[in-house]
Amino acid sequence: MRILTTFAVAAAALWLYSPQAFADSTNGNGGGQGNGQGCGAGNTSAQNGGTCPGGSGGAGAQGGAGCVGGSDTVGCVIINANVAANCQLGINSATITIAELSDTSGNLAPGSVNGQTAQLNGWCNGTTSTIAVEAFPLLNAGTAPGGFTNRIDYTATATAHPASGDVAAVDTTTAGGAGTAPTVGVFSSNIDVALSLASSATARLLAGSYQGSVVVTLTPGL
Amino acid sequence: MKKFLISAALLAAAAVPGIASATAAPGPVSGTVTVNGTVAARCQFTTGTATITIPELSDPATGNLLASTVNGQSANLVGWCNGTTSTMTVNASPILNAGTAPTGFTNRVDYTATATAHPAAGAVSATDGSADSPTAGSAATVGVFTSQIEVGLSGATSAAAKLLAGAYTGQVLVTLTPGL
Repeated sequence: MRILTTFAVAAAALWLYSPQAFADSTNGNGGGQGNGQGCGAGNTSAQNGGTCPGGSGGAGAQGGAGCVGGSDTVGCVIINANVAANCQLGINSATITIAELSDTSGNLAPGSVNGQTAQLNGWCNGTTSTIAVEAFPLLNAGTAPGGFTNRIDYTATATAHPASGDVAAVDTTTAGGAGTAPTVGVFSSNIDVALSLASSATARLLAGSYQGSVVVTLTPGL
Repeated sequence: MKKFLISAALLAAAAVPGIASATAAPGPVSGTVTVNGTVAARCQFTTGTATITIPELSDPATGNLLASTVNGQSANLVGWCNGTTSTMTVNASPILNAGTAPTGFTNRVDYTATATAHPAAGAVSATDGSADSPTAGSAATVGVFTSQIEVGLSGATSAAAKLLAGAYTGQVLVTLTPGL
């Protein structure tokens, strides 16, 4: 799951991008465990001597944990099931609107960006799930002549709230790609996205609308 | 007189067994050996194990249990009993993941298991819900039979929470108890 937060001077939008379905890497685990468990099909006491700890038969010798309590007169149906590692976003977009980026001198007013927040909401069910952020600068489409700029950089922080404690992922727009992805694990909570450390070249901001974005990615993991 | 004495002696001799050759044959004699046998009441599974594999338990959109992934699952055992009061019981254990589920998540799926045998007199079913595990369900008299025993799952439920990711296992024990 990727969440893209888009900023504009007049208006900004957070939206979701879903590059992949939930991970299915766990598929097959259940079957794998099940196979070879204590109760192999067709085992009988005559065939196997009743040694299978989890059923009637010798397949128990092949497997690990299995049917507990099987015997000649106690049949066993083993149920092997699986839940894939999954992350989803119940609220996958939000908007931050910054009415005015510049101060009276025409330069960036960092306070107009710093402290801006938006909330997403999501969950992951796997213990090694991660959260990552990629922030893109606020840009104006125009060409800035000397003494002017059309770019504002900043740092974005996305904070999820697992029961074990907050987990925050950070990225700055000056660096390409997403920031380091910390393990968020199993959680279901708001994801608070906050902006800080806004900066621009020592120049006046070109007039017009600016747009940026913050992409929050939840990656499922068992 | 002498002649009379000889005749009397001959008659007397004829009256003594083993002396006269005209003695009657003895009649038949018989004895009886009573044979008593017993067949103990027995039950046995000839196919004592089976596996149900459920690739995915959860609804990918919500993360919660998708009950239809469990309900309707079935597997076949095969067994027999030779006594008229033989019974069958079911003991269902929940489908569990080994992990610890934080608030809002669960690692347990409960369900009802039904085992159905097929005596000539008609199908006999025993059921048990996993929610009260490890308590088994009530015993049903299955009597004399040899047939498949179908084990079906139904009524799957979990807490109103998302399922923890990973492998889950459960089991259904079907017990045949012999009875005369």
